[in-house]
Amino acid sequence: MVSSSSRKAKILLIDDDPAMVRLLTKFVERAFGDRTLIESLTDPREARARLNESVVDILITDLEMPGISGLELLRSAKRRNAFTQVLFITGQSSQDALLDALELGATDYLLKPVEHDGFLELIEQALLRHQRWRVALSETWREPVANVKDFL
Amino acid sequence: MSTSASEDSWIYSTFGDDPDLGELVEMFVDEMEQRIASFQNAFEQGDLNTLGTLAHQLKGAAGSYGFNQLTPAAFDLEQSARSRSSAEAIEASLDRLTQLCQRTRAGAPDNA
Repeated sequence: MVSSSSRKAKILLIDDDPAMVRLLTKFVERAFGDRTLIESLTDPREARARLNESVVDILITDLEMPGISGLELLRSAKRRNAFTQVLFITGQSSQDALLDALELGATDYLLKPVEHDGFLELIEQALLRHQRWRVALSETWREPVANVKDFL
Repeated sequence: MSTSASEDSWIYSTFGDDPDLGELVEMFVDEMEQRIASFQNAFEQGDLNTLGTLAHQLKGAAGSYGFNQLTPAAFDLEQSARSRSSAEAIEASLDRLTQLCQRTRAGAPDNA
């Protein structure tokens, strides 16, 4: 259990505005650098390819982007790993789409402009939730092994 | 840059004096001229979809960077472009936003 819970959480962050990506990446690295590995992208197509080839623990994505929406990234992430935590960052104009996002399994959302403390609180909650899933799945996986050991 | 603005009218980020974030704020301010040029180009091309998208981006980014004064003006331009307001109305929104963008400064009032 120790090894599974001490692994750094993988975060993928996507926003089509490079300035937003720089700022939010800095917020995450400064507050959670000891617990997370963050990759940041501005191209949602590249993000979808990344999600299709590897698992991320927390996906932070803008909802409204040209070409590929945050909802498509949510679907890609959840197909690959059902317990990826998905956080949306969005403007007021996208609130209708937020309802779709929540129905599709989004963990939470934050409205732009992003408020520093609120953003960090959201990440902290997602990390805790992700950690609980990891521990629960780890224990479920190990249970049969423990039972076997009882008979040794 | 506007030549009529005085130092009293500069707009500073609410965290411009944060030692960790100051460099990012400076980059954001440095890129403002490029954003304004993109707005102007989209308007002149009559590309209101792009203009709306650019205004939407700045609406989210400006407040996130602590330049809260820009948010309502960016919202106004976004709405004007997306609702296909008259060219005069869109241009007026663009001018208001441009003037605010040109007043942004890195750092803080006492150390800029």
